[in-house]
Amino acid sequence: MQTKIEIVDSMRSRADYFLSAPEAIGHIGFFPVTNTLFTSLLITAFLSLIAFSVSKNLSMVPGKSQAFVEIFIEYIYKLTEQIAGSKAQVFFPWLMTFVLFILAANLSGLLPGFSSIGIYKIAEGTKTFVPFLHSINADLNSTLALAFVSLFITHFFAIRFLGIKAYLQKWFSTKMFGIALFVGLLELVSEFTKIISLSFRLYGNIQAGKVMLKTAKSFYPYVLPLPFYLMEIMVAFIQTAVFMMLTLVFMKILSSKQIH
Amino acid sequence: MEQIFSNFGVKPILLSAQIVNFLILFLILKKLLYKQILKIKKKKKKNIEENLRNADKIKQQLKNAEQAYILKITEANIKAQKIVATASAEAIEIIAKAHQQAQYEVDLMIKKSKENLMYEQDKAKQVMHKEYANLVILGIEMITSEVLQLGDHKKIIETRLRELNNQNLN
Repeated sequence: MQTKIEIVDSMRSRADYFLSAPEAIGHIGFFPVTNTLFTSLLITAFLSLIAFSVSKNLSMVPGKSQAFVEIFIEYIYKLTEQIAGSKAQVFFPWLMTFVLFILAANLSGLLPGFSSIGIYKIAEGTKTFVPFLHSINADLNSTLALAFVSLFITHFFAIRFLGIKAYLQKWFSTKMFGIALFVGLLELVSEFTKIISLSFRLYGNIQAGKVMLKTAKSFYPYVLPLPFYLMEIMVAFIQTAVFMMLTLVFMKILSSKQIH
Repeated sequence: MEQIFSNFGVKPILLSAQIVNFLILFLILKKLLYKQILKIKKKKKKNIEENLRNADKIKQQLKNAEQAYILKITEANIKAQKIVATASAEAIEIIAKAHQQAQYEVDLMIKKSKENLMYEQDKAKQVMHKEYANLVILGIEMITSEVLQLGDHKKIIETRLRELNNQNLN
């Protein structure tokens, strides 16, 4: 019995090592400013700065940076248009923000200084390292927040495009009996699982990448992590695309009239 | 469930902060970036469409101009051919008239020359007759001067002159 408890404790300590929760680097009143929240604010400031500088120097004949931004935005817009059709104009700003924020968050986590520059704190008699900057999507708060926003706007657009009656009929109907009622309830439950699916997928991939890099560094810190870094860059793009595409598809499905 | 979320460090206050942060980013990007970029894109698209329409219009105008040019050239060719044909006919007529005029003038000159020649011939004949008569008279005078009287001479001369005149008239 004691051995079993020891194994569980050992596993928990390993999990704590890998699945590091966001740590507070300071407090504003009662509000804890965690390293991931601080990084989120930095990413927001960085993206806002880019948006400001691009919009300030916009011209009909674009420079290199404007051309790059235009191409990127147009690519996402066309992708949205292909799937959502006329609703693209409404969906696009949200999807583009997801893309920019998640991509910037994922890529920034691979930059030097992330999870490596910080302070040592002594809590409960143990000395722990608290980095100032931490990969945003390696914090479940952040991916859950994105999933909540995604789900909320998906349902908001569904009500806006279908009307409240048609929206509710997607799950409940007066004609529903037996299996149909059960399917309706399942559909409703599946809406909540979207939050878990979106948030844990992103969190899991980024966290797993972080763990993999950490492990590779612990074996041989000079060359070994390099292919994993390249893979993580790929994962950053893929996970961004997955989140964006899933949100877009959910929006499209929920905003379309259901045919029973 | 609460334990799981607690293990992952999920706290409602941090979750709310992340949501607010994302919404702020959304509003900033929407106002500063997407609206502006999409506006510029729309403007560019409009410009391209307008330019394409203009290009089509210009192409049509060029086609019309080419057709008009071909039409004008054809008309000019027909006119030129007509003018050349008229000029050729007129030239032939003028040449024919000139020929006629030349022929007439030549004929006239020949006629005048003939008349002059006849006149000169008559004149020469008269002079020759006179000279001949004088010679005859002189000869006769020389032969008959001693036999015939003055009155006889005159009669003979006049007779001979009349005969000569008659001969000439014949």
